[in-house]
Amino acid sequence: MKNRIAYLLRKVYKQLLYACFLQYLLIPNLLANNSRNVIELNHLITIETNWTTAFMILIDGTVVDTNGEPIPGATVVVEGTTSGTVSDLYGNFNLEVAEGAVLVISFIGYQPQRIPIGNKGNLDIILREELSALNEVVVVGYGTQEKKDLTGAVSSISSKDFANMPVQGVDKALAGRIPGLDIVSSGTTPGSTSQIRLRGNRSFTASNEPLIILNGVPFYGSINDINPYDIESIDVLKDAASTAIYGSRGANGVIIITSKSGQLGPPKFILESYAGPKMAYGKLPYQNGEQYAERGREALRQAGNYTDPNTNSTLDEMFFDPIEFGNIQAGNSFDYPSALLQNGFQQKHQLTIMGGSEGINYNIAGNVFTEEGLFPGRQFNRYTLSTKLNFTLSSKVNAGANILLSHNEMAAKAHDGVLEASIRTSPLGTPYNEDGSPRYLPTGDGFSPHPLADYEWDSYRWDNKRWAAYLNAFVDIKLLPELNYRINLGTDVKLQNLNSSLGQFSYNRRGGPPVAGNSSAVANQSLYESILTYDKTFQEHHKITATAIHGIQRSREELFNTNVSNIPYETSRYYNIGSAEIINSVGSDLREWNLISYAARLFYGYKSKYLLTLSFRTDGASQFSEDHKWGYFPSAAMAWNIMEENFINPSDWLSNLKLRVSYGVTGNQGIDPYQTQGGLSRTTYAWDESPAFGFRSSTLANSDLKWESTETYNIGMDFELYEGRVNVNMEAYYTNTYDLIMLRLLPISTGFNQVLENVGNTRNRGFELGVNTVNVDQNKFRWNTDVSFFLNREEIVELFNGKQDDIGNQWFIGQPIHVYYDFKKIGIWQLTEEAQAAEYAREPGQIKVLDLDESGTVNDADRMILGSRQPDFVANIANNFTYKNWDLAFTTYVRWGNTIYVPHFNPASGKRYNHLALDYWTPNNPTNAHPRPDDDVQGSLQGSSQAYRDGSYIRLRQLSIGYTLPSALTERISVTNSRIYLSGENLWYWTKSEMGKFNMEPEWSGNAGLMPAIRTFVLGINVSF
Amino acid sequence: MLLIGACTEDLLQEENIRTPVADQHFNTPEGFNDLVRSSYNFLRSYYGKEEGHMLTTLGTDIWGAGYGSVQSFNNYDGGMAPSHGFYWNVWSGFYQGIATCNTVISRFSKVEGMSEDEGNIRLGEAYFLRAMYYHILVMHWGDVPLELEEITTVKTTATRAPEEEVYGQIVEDLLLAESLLPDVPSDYGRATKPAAQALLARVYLTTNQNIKATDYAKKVIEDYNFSLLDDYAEIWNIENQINSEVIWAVQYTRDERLNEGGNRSHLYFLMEYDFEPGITLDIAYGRSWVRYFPSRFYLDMLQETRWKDSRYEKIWKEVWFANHEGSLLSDQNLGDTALLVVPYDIPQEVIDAKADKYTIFDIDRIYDGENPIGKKSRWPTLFEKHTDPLRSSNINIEGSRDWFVFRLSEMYLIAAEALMKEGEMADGVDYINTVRRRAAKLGHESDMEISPNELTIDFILDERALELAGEMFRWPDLKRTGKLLERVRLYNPEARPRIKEMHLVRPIPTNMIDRITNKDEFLQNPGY
Repeated sequence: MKNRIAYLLRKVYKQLLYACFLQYLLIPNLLANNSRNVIELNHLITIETNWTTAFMILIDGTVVDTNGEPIPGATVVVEGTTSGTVSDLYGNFNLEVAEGAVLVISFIGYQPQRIPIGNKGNLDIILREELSALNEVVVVGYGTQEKKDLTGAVSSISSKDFANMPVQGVDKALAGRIPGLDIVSSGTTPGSTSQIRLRGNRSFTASNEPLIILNGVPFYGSINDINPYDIESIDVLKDAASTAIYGSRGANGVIIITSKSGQLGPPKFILESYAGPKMAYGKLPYQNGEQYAERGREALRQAGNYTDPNTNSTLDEMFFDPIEFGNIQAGNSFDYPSALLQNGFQQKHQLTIMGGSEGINYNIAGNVFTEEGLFPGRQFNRYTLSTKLNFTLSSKVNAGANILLSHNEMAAKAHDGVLEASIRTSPLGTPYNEDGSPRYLPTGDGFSPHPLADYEWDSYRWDNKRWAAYLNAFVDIKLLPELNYRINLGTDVKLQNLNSSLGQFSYNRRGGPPVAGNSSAVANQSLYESILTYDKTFQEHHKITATAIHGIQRSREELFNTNVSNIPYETSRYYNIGSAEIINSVGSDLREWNLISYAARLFYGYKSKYLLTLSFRTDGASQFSEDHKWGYFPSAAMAWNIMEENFINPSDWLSNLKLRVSYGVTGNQGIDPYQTQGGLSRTTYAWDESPAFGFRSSTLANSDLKWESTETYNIGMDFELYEGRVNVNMEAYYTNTYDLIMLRLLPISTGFNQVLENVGNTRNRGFELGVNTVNVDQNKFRWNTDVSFFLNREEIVELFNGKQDDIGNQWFIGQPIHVYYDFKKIGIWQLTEEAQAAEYAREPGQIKVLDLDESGTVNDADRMILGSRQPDFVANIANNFTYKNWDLAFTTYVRWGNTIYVPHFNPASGKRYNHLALDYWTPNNPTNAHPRPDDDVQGSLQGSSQAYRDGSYIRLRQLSIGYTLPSALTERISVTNSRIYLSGENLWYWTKSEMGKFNMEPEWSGNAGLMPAIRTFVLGINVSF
Repeated sequence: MLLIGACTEDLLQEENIRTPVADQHFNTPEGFNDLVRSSYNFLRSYYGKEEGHMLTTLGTDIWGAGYGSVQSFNNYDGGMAPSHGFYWNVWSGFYQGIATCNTVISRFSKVEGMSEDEGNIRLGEAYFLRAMYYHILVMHWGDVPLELEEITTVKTTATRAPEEEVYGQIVEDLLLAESLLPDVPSDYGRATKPAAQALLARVYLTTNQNIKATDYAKKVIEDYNFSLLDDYAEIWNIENQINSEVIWAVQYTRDERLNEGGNRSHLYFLMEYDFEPGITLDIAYGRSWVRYFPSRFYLDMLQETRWKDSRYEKIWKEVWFANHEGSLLSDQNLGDTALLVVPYDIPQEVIDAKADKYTIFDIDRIYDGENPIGKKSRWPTLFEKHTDPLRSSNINIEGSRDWFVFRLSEMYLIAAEALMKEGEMADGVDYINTVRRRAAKLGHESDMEISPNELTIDFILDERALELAGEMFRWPDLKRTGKLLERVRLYNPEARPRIKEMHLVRPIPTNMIDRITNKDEFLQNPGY
């Protein structure tokens, strides 16, 4: 499969090679050159059959791959001659050969086969994939390159790597697969996307998100708009030498997504479907009625109200409201979370039609994905239609178009915190009357409505709809055989419409008048690019590829919002906002920016032995002020294929060894528009009941603002052992980000809180390892393993005030950008320590924190850095097995050493709310885990210190088992390929902290939310015909 | 291609059409007016907000820290740290207000096309507001940076001006404001001449210029149509917020677009009534955040004076009626008395006898000696001054009550205090008696009157506790009169062991100190 991609990409590459653009002066005497693979291709096409041999027999043959898929374009040559042919679209070939001859059948990416011809007339030839990846083609910015010619750090995955696993989104497909790319989900809610970071964070104010390029065009949409089934390959550019060609947007890495192209041949239909449930791991252990009551009593005891150390019904009656008291007496307890949670369900169906003839090939895919989460009505649906067309207009002109239409909707029928509310609400309430009708207030607490009120009164709507169209088209003109001009035009339109309505009896309105809101955004980006590529090999050994680029990008976004309350008929939900009595807010905004770019790149390769890439890009951005609009981003990279040297002989165990070194400067994606101008902000006031809006200066203008820059040094080594059965890639890097665009905080006595300045400095250092091995490679049984491992050390070097910590922002020199800075809990004050506790104005049962400054009091100076969100390392191991028609794959993922804040381990301290069942201190339970509840305060003193946890975890991320129906069976029903599979996601996990014991989801990009971990099963089928 | 090349330069020009650009806009009459209106906005970061209440209510003789309060502000422990956000919110809000006033003052001469009269009034508003901001800053923090010019370039240093210099500037600004401002504003809520004079009275009283303080208090009392309302409760009738006792108020409104944060005072003094049988939250009773409760000393004072003084019963709430069918007691109906909270003793047998009808908290179930029974106990609640039944729902915390910054009765009390300090007891007693007579229960007017020899600073402080309860006066009053340490040690058991001389000024916010480059010169207040 991978090699099929390689083949397709080679075609794309070939189309890119020739151009002419005289406005851009390259080296005038560059001579045209075809890359080696192009020569091979040309060679294939021009082979002529030799008719002169006697004693001929006619061979009818078919060339297929190990999956039985035909291989068109395979070369069939009679050994020792130049006679031969090429397989057709169906993999078939005919050839007259001399009896006793030997045929050599070869195809790029496959191991060549030697077949002695007896007197057989029919040959079924199965080509096995080549193990070495050196000839794979990798998409680099504005072009492609063979892996062996790469000078930068680029990691790739192809659809093969996730084809057998049902993944909902691109982020999930990438997770763990690319060394250096840290993907952390932001929860398990349907449609939630992940935080993607390449080689750590580097910027405070600007984005840390990698740039995504979809089919050659920057993609500024939601990653949710892309359907992973449409993807052929993903290439991640990691070092500055690779990303510098994207200049001002390259600092956070570049993810290049290439969608599937059609292939020559008659229409082929592929139907892919899967469906299955999503299930919570188990119950989050929260207190039942009895536990809740006892914790409440303990809180009241601490407050001095509940004067009996034992349960006392007189006191119960005094301190619990009559409803709660009645349920205590009756032994009732209501379990809201169990009433809320359901098994979720997801399904995906895709129909692809692909094919092509001489002038055109096409790939059209329609896809429906729907998912309902653990909360009823919490949904994510995505509908995509993607079309990829390639036209061969003449021998010199190629063109293509990509159209992606995407509609997705997220919806909820209860507020996001419904599970939290279900746990918080007293289990001693009476939520339903005897006739089954719900009671809005299950207890006497007016602030604790029925946690499921949104459902019971059908009073909540949240609908977030997006429509997006991404269109791009290109024309390739081969001006000379070695000179290619390509023009790219791209545009996208994104509409987003977010509506919500909360009725009077919704949980959050608590009987207040109904409210509704709408916010919408219309965004449009457009792009023009001219790319000139000059490609030639001189004297066989000197290969030169030169690229020149000119581009313009424009972006415009308009935003609108309205919020109203007191809607007279709440059944109108958000469809009649104008009927509301009160307008809470209305607003609109505009954001526009433009970017102009010029770039050039020169690649020189000597015998594929010494390789050099130089690039330079300059970007001009409208957001910067007059004298600082342009940023300059150079890079250089060298690689040395040691195996090509005479002094080293390829041996059985070492088949490739390559060293790479690179340096480059990239920029960040600039700043938000209008920030250099010094803004006015609107203020609100009133004269009695009349508006008194005003404007005042809120931001100091800073016309010196310039691009934030990141320089990266990268050293890489690639080697292959045992004929490519072991493939290793290692990278070590050092990045230094300077001129950081930061909000420099000003003494507020100036009236200005902050000013944007280029100050500060961050650093990332890291190591990445990727190992692919083919452990067993036999006809019937194949086992391969992909390991990725990386670690990154992120560090603040300098802030706006030099090498001084900024405690207000929790930024510390020498520490990652996101650290946890708080008191360190060292236990709970015990009864035996009463006197010592009193010195700190504490008493037994309260949290004991480290007295860092040994001042004898608990004060701000006792806070310390407790950890960071950055993991020590991330590792992923994927194993794939095939045995005859069976396949088995599983992925194990490890994320180690990060700190996570789990707010629910820091519960409110009073009686009022229910909590997770935590081990709290009482005079009879001298634990060091959690403090004694206290009804006199909202939270425990230094309560947050009990909520930091080691975030390390290991999980079995994917496991899937599939069976490909034998072709003998499927051919009878005209099906060429059919696989059914069963797959599970997150079937098992282990956490270093007690999150696993609490069945909590351990992976969060920010603080841990209150969601159980989820396991997913799907049953799927793929059929092509 | 050429076309694209030609428009390249235009593409990189950035035009921000969303908002006006500072430099040109503020020199137009519209922009200048925008700027003046902005100068008022930051009063809302203090008046009617938790920040203002916390700084003026806690750590005094008459209030204690309830559930959800920052206990450290009451007991003066290490948690009263410079990093606490309340200090920063007030400090940063006010300096932004000051910068806006400074811009008004520096742009005044550059504005073209504005009538001289209007321009002068706007200038007067800026002087008045700048004095307001500086007065609150200097009151809490002592020496503070005195910025008087519009700032247009990055400045990273600051210098603390001596307290006297700041007060001097405040007086200078107020005298200018007095000369520029009209008696009656064009828009209700704008600064006026009597407002400037009222602040002058306050400032002169604070700086011990007692004759001037008396003069200015008298001007406000005599020169305008202000008058004390007959009914003390009527001052806070939410339907009658513009009344003759209000000299000047910070504006809040029912239009949520204009209300930004709102007046949240209704939340803070309210006890947690809704957990009692038969009662649940409702909009008339309000939403309780249980921040402040009366000290034992204060409750006793209220109880002792209630026989003749109407103010306790008019403003405080003792009785709550049943409004929740789900949690009624066995012998209780909707609308019946459900909860009775009183500052006196009720025999246990009476409480027991009523147990099926309503719940009673008498003084012994509120206080154990001077210590409250729990931070969330039940107390008689300061209610009518702050309650806001006009909010759209009970979860809406943005109240619409104007915040009365200057109320006429304060002018009488200022005159009384200033005259007392000058030894003019006889004159002084007239002013205090006017206020007390108005507060008297029917037929008890003469009981309320005091004689000149009773006029002491402690009496005035007690009177201010009764008259100005919950109006953000207490901490500044105790500080101004030099009574903070003494009275807190007497009546506030939690603060008693810790309050020290250093607590007469607040800590400069950490955020301020962290940001300045001349840290060697700009020092924290001692002790913090």
